[in-house]
Amino acid sequence: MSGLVQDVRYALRQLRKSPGFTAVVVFTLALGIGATTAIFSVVYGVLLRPLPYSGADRIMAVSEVNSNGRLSRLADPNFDDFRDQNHSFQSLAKYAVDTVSVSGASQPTRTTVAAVTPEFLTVFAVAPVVGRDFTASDDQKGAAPVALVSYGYWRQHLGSARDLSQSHLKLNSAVYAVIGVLPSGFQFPNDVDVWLAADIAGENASRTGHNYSGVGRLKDGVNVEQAGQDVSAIARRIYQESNEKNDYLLRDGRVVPLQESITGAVRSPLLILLGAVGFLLLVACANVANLLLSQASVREREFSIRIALGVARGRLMRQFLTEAFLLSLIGGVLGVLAALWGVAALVALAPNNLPRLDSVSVSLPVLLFAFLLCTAVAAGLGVFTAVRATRGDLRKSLVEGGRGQAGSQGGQRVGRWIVAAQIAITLALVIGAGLLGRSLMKVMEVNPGFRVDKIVAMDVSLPWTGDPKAKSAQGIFFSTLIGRLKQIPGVRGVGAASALPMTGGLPDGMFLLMTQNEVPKTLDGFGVLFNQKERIGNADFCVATDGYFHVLGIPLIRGRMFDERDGANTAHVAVISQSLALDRWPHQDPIGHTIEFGNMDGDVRLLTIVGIVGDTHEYGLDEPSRPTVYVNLFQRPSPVMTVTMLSDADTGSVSSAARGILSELNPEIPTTFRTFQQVYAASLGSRKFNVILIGFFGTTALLLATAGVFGVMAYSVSGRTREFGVRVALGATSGNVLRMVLRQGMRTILIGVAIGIVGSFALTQTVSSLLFGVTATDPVTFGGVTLLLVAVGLLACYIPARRATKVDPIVALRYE
Amino acid sequence: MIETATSEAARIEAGQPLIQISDLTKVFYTDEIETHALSGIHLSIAKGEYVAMSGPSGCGKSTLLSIIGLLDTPTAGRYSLNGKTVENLDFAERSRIRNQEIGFIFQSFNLIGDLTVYENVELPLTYRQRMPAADRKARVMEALERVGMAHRVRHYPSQLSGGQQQRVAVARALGGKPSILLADEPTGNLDSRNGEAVMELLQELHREGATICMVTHDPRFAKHAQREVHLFDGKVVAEEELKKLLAETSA
Repeated sequence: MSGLVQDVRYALRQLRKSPGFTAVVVFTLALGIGATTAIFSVVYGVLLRPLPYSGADRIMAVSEVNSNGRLSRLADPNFDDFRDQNHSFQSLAKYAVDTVSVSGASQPTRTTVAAVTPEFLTVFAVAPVVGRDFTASDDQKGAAPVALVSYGYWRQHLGSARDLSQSHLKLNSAVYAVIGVLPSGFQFPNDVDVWLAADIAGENASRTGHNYSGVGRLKDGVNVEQAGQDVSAIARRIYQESNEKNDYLLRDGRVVPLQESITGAVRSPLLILLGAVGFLLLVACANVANLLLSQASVREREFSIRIALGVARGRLMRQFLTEAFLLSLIGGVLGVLAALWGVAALVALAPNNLPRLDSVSVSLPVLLFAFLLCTAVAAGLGVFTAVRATRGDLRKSLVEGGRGQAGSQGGQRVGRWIVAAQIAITLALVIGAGLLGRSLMKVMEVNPGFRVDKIVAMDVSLPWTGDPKAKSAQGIFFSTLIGRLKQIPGVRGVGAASALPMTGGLPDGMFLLMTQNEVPKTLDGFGVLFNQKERIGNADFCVATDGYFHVLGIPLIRGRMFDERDGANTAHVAVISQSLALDRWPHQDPIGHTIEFGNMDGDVRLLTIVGIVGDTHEYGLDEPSRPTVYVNLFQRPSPVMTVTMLSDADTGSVSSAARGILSELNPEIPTTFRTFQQVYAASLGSRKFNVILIGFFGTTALLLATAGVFGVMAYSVSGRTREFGVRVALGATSGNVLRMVLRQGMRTILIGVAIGIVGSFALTQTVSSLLFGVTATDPVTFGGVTLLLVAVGLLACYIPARRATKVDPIVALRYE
Repeated sequence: MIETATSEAARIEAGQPLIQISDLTKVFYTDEIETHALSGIHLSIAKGEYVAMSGPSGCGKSTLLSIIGLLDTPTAGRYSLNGKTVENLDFAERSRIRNQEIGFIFQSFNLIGDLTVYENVELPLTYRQRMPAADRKARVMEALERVGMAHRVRHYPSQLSGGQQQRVAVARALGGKPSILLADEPTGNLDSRNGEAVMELLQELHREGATICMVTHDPRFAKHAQREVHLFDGKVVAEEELKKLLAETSA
């Protein structure tokens, strides 16, 4: 123990003796460990940290598998069969999320609500802290509307009243009695504040109306595979027995852990980030290893004297390990402090689609990870340096300098190989960043098909209603609202749509091509028509006004937009997107054709196609345009609309005026505002996040590798002063010396580049799923990054090489 | 341009020395101190001559050798090598002359540790532009055979004894067929047996026509030279005067 204390004391003295060296090593390690810890915080919080529910590993997401092999939500009858026929789940529930206007509490709010079945809370093993859970009778058709609220909503909007008998909420024109308050921290699905019984309005009898997600808790002793086989068997049976055999009918069922279901889409990008930051850590460690080697060579004589005096090599190695551990520990502590800041920055930068961000923090497991990382780094660096430093020739070290050879570089070879490895890793990182950066640029080059600037979007949710008169009134309401909004100074145009492009908020489904004479008299008749492939088309369904196209600058390609001829009582019309026209009527003029799209809004009246407009990117610039049917808001009213205003005026003043107008028309309707630039930027959020982070890692690795090349070359040059003196004495010109040093440096760099290129060909395949418009072996990126690295490496070699040419030849004689 | 050996011989025969130094001074300036390393040196060395420069430590003999070897420049005075004034040449021109006209032999051999014996001897020749590889090889092997080290071409310096290393260093100096060999304490790092062997080698070279200027503080080795130049406090002095000055200093 006293030996260890002595080692620590000596190590501290060594670190104090070389403050510059210590600072550089600690800073480099802090950078590597800090960045790795920060990214691990995100990976742990999002992917690894268990969901905050009891027995979270037994909570599963249940989905249908559609005809394309993709997962889809559950249709009501299919869910009922899964629930009633399975042998794997203790409880199985369905849920669907919507954002609606809620009034009746302290103030009207746009609130995210979930319609759930009564087993929902049982799945999560959660019970209300105030009041009661749903019962089976609460979910019966025609039952009195009841709601559960989140703890936060209860505190903020219901005054924390323990007596809930007076707490009522008005949603979709119905008054819901609040029956319970859920525990603090429970918020599933994300952002939901109010839970309603799902089926009080009755179930949808169709097996192709996919409106609900499924979630269940496994029985004890049942594993995921068994549950999957169970659900799959039920799904296949449904398919066999169903008379709705079309593309929208399920083919199979799938069970995956809920955590995987939530985070599956971001798993790959996050692991790529973790790999990238791991590379950065390796580059940082390589720099430190080179620094430690340099320092060890300076202390070589000291170690030889110690060995001559009888110290065992093991003891000497322990001394190295102690010094490396102290350096790593200090670097690790600073790194964790940097990670605290880094995590905050990551959360701020994170795209909207990154789930579980509230779970991301520098938690105890993350600290443990950082400690293990420090220990691993210390052990690696300590053993490496110790082995290198203590394997030398004792006699030679003790008499070194006695007689001479100039410029033996044996000890520098390891350093050069380390630098080559750094270059290789850096090249892979920078190529990765380059590919992602070029992908982002390619995405941004995509014409979105609409205007992005000067548009303010205003979300308005009216109560849902099935009553035709009430629906008509909603159309009139929006008409009035749009008319008033046009009066706002600076507003040049106003429109509305049921969802904005880039948000992926439009429902999609099958429509039927038919004439008025072919309209069936019964629902079964529609079912028969849906089995006739030549009558079927697939499209997104968007409720819009003519002003929407004007505000967004979506061009009219043929025919006409909606206009004053299209009244509530005239023939219903539709405008279709160009891609739909080409897809469904490839050799015909679609204008004048009639379609039926009643499964979107329940209105089976035919739509006459009157115009074709340009395509827009509904799901993001990197996703292909989808065929879309636009219907007229004033003929087919929708309660949930986003009003778009084209304005030269300040966003704040327009929003304020619009809020005032809405409040005048109906003070119980809350709204939210966003600019279209925000919508556009949010759609690029994930790509920007990846580019910023991997770009940061790549740039940092480049700087570290440049410092590494510079350090090794500078160390090499300083150790070869005598050699250069001899060479100059023998007639070498400055050019000879410069070329020689550059050649030696570039040899190292080119070896690293060659290894890096080969490695990059393999590694970039892992990011291919994140690329757009460039291949994983994009020659421009590979070539550009290689040139960049060679140029930077050349520069890093040039300064020491220049110094080598300045060697005074007399130094060669001064050694006499 | 350095003239050819034929015209050079004619000039020497006409009384023009290979090295002619007149009133040469060298002053080192530091922040506050001005050190006169050499003061008014006059020296001429004829082609084929073997000159030893001796004197106590700090007398300026190594500084003078550096200036003769164009590793340093004088503060004042004139220096002509092979009839060409060389005291004010630029770095590149001095490098070229060093490479072609001067062969250095150092006390510590100064072989490059990462190069083989062959590569060490070849090194100065690689700095000559447009010298064919075959010519280089012939010169290298000739020089190594001359010093008896041709059988060690693939060896590295660390695999040789001190005496062998110095013989390789001599071969390196000879390889370029220089006008003059400058040897700075060539036996300083050798035992007496190897030291004698190197001195015999230099004498042999001299007998074959080489011009040699050797710095040494050992009177035994200085006696091998044809002529001894004594330096004291940066000045050339006669042997008797040097003895007197040394006696006064020690007193």
